[in-house]
Amino acid sequence: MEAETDIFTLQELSDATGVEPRTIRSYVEKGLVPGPDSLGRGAKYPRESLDRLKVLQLLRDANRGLTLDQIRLLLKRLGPSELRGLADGRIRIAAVLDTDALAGELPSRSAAAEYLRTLRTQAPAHQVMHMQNPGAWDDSLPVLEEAARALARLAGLSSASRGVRGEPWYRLPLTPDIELSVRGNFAPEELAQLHRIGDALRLLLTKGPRA
Amino acid sequence: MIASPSPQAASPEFRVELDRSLVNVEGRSVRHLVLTVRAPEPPPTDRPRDPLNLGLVIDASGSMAGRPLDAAKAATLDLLERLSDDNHLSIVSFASDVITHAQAVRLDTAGRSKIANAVRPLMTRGSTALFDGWVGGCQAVATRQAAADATERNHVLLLSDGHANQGECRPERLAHYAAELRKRGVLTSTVGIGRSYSPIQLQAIAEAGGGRMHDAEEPHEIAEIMLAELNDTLATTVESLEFTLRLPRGVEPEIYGTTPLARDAEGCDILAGSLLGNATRRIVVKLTFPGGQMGETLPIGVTARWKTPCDGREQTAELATVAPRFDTPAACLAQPRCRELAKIVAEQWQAHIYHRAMQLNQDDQCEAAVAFATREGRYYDRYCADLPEMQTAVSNVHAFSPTVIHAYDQVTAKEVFLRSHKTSRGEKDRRSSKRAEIEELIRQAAARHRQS
Repeated sequence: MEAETDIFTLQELSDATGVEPRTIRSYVEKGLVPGPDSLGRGAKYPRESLDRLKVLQLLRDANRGLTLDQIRLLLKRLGPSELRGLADGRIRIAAVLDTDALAGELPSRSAAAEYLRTLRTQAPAHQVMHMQNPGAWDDSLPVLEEAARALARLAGLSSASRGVRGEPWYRLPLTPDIELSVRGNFAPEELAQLHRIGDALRLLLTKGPRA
Repeated sequence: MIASPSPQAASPEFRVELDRSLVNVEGRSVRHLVLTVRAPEPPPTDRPRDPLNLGLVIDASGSMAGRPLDAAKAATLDLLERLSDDNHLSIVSFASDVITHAQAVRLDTAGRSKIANAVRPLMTRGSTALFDGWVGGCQAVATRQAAADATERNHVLLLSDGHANQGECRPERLAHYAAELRKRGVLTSTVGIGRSYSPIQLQAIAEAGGGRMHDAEEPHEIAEIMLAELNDTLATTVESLEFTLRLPRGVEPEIYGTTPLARDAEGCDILAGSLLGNATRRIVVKLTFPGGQMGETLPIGVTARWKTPCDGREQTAELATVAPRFDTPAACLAQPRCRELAKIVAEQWQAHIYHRAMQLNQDDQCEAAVAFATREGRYYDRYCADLPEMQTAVSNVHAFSPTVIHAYDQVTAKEVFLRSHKTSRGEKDRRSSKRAEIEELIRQAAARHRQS
């Protein structure tokens, strides 16, 4: 048996398990197998990568119908000693292959939902509003105050001597019965800002502020 | 929801063929690898179909005002009547903001009424935050996916009439996110609405998202396209089909058409996407070979991975290894080739030339577009020399090449993109109205340029 501190190249992992290097990389990308400690050809993988690969194969052999998401869940449950025991054959794979329990766990762990949560935290700041779930609004966003301030800046309310004669009105429907009218000559970026203000007001008008 | 277990799905049929089996010892031989897949039969119509978890994402930006949005709303209401009770529908609209009007509502009587009430008052507002809207739709579907039976088909249908101009807009990033969601079981199809939208972003999402891209030029076509997409989704028997090519060192792959190809040190991955039951898809990969030793072979291994939507199973098959052999230039020239295969290559190649040149043209790289189309046209001419049935195509390519020096109007460009995309994927055009032939559109555009 290899020593506890063993590290492996991608090719060594492949030779030891019969899994193609490309497939191992895709398992790493999918979070099924720990990745290497560095980049490039000489990158070394930890012992856990080998153990996980072996267990992954055992799981697939035992139940060809398992999806990678289900395998990810099963692997997630295993502690280091259990993982090693399975990889070494000291523990039988049937002991962990409880698909009924797995089916019960899947609902709360959708991979797509998790990915989207990550994506939203990385995406540029942009307000996303849920009509069905106003409770999910961002508390830190004082929508009305922000909209009022932005509107004041846009319409030049602070400028007492502002000449408005001859400037057109820009009308923005908010609901079937309410519209926002702002007088001025607006550049495209200002119009976009006006639309954003309208969107915020529309949200308040249709759903009201957070209770 | 409990779905009845699906019967074991049949596997697709695959063929892996090279148009010529000898390559030049002196190098720079170009050969075409043709991957053919035929999807298994769709489920019989008398068997209950797998339930759908569908997210409908509707562009409500200002440019959709009037007939387009009204048609999208009418199409959604029509869709409600066609989906059975065991399906779930989410409705998301986007403009500068994103509104989830309904999240995974079961389509019983109360659910239909709830969705109809949410859709009818939908109004246009602001700019086009396409990315956020699409993500909102995916979120609604993914939330349901997390609580549903694995046999449900998780699908997002994105309707838009324009360029994303807010949030993430880069086609390559949109494709990346779409691919990641596809790998996690949420597929996306897109519908471009109107005459002058840019299909680049919608194509990137649909192609990488494992779905299909449709065009609804006229408002009345939105409903028929949505219905066709729904039928296509239910008739899909192969999902997320991906080929892996293991290539010897020095062999360079290039794909004809719009199919995504990801290169790495050992070969490449090609995403073929979804196939309807009984549909046949052909993918042509151009391979450029290095020089080598007489008699030596260059084994190319091909693996396919796909998912069967009826049970969510992921499957893998080692398809074949083709091994072209190095020989003298004279022997390479003299070797015969399969005419049927050569014709398939020629059809895909022509679509590739149109698509790529038009892409350059629309990116304001008109001179590069001409250079590309002219160079490819020369090789194309030579390749088709002994294919009399392809001589019209050769003439068409030669006639097309000089026209891309002028920026094409958006309407013609969109049409060329769409047709070449459909040709390269072997997909049907779902629009009911008859369109002019692509060559006729090109001739008309060229005539307009001459007059101006």
